Amino acid sequence: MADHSASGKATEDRTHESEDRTHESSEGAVVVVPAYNEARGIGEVVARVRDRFARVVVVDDGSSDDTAQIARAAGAEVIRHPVNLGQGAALQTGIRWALQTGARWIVTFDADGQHDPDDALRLLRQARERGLDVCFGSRFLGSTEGMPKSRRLLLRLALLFQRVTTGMKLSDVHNGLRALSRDAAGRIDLRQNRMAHASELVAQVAALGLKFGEAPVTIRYSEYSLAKGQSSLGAVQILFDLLLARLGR
Amino acid sequence: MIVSALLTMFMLASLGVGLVMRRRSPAVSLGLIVVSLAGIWFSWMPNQLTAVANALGVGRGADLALYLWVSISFLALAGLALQLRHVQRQLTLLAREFAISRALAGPEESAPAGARAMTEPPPGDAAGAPTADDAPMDGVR
Repeated sequence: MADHSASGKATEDRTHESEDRTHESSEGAVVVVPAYNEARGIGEVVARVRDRFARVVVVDDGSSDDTAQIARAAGAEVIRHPVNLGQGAALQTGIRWALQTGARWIVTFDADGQHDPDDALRLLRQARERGLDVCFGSRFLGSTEGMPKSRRLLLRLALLFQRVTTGMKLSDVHNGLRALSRDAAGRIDLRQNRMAHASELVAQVAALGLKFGEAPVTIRYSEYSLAKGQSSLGAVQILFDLLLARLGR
Repeated sequence: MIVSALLTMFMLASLGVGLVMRRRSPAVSLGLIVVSLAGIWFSWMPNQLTAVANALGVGRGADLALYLWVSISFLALAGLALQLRHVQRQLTLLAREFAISRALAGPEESAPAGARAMTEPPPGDAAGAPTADDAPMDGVR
């Protein structure tokens, strides 16, 4: 979409033009981006999302770098956790902020640049058109770029686990791109501070009987996103967190 | 003799802890008191502990004490883990509350680019000044 060779002024004008056009379909939506030490990529991510959405909230999860300043400079609203709590906690904070500031739809979006803002728009449109409470992005309905084989296998296993534990027939797990209606977001309460929140969210959607669906998205695995993202061993941690939660209740 | 005296001292200490905790958590307190008193008794009467162990199918009293110790430690650890989770939950709620009210209070926390840029000094100044001051000092040392 963007012609990066254009002068600064021209770029700005065009951006506003595209804002008017695309913000119509994203009206009332707030994009929530949990971020921890993402100074390197967050500026571009926010700028790309802002091309499509009027409101972007970056929840800076106690970063020690300039994530907050860069995100703010790129046009995001920034909420800062005083200490690092984990992605699940940051997501829940962002969701609460979005609800508190009048969001009608909430889109969750990863900070490492693996998601496409156009996919976010599509999720939103699908959720509205199909009357869904929650629309999950699915890389297996859509496509992936540069996904390692080991990751594919791991995700398949996790998918099986999800089906067995929640009974939800989804084609993807732990995909950070989703659209939630205001009502659904208000009823969901993520207590898993770390990565297990993605499984927790699916489990809550099942338990609350929310109407859900999936839409294809493209996940772009870059060197940066792979380095910043979860190692496959994280799956063990997630299992442990989920197990502990079951024992505690 | 010496071991018995040492053990008695430890047990007296844990008895003290048990007595102090009586109000806050009666169950744990009672457990501590009983275990401490039994500990003091058996550290002076090891043969009786061995008799108890034999009755339970364990060879020596010391082995029985070890098994009990391991079991109690596991329980204590599990309790601690749950408590830690509870504290983590409280910390999360507190941090969330803090983050949101800070964002609501200070417009600069959530304002878009323009508003904030006006109040910040140019990056050159902030980065340049301290290093210029520090350099001669380092030279002297």
